[in-house]
Amino acid sequence: MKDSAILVVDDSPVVVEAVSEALIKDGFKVFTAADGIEALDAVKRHSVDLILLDIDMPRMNGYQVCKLLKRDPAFKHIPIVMLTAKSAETDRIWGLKAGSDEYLTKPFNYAKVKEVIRRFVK
Amino acid sequence: MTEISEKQLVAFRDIIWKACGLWFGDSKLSILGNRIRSRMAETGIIDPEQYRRAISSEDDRAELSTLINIVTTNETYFYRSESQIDCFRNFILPQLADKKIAAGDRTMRIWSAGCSTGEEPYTIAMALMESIRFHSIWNFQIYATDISTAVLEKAMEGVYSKRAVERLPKELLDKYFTFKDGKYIINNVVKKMVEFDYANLFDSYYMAGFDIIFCRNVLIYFRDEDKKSILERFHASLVDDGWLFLGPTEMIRGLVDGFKLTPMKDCVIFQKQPG
Repeated sequence: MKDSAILVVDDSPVVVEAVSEALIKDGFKVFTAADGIEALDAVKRHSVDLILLDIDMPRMNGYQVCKLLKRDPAFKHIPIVMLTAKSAETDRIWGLKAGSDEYLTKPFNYAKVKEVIRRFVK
Repeated sequence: MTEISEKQLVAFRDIIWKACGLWFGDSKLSILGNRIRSRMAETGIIDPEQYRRAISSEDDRAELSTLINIVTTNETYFYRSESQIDCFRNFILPQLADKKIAAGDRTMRIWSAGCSTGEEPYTIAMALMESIRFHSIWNFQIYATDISTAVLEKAMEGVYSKRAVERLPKELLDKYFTFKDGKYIINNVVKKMVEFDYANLFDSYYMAGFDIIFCRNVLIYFRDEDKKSILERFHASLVDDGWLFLGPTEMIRGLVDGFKLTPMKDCVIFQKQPG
């Protein structure tokens, strides 16, 4: 699991910093993106083992990013964990329909995030 | 029911605008007030100030997300603004189909922006099947978006009340719906023609290459500067000579260049002028 690369996608610099710091402390390599378009660029430029993906972001939302990646044979194998404030049941269903592998809501507990990452990244 | 002062309503309005770009102008503040009051009743919160704090939390935006779902849900029905649908079906579609056939292209891309519970995109799908000869050899792409996952879920279910279908011509109701347990269920052949997606017009990614965009009675919820930005992005998303349908009373004069207002029988629509 150590040295695995995680892409953290969120338009909140506070969330990006908090999650990235914790992941780096745990030995992960971290890439970041502030919106959906940056996320797609990052996935093309770096080898990524898992994506933590927010939903409501400028330029392209997380559902759209997820759908595009899961439809692309080159990237569909990358686990996507939605990490979002959208906590209505229909939001969750929509996330799973978009192809996300797990759906976590904010405020989040880092231990839970790490546990989910561990499930997908060996 | 709880009283919400005008000052408090304005504060709620600002929070919603910052979160998703929707703007409840002074004439719509009472609608916003009613919806906030009913949501407060559901949550058991009596004090508007306490509710304001609940939707302002930076750490937990769940309640704000739920409220946005509620305030953006509007009742609609099949064949809303009938003259526009007739214009689309009888004038625009035949013209567009002829042009495409002449170019050897049998793809048609239509975007229903702010599709709510699906009545508009399914109306478009039925119109395509009714108006275009040999429709099975065409590739129709109907892309339908909304800011609320709650309405998108309902749209994908495709189950409607009698009220939602009462303006639909009977032959279409008989042909494209199944009546079961007091509800009208849209047939799979229509359902499969529509792809639903979550999108906030304020800041989502806009796809390109649309022949027609429907965005009816949605822009009324945006401020002029946001409306202008959305219209400019619609312009970029349309093919040259593509068509934009807004609500029957919505005008864009003074907001954006590049569209020609085209009067049709009983309605006006906008056509993109090639740049």
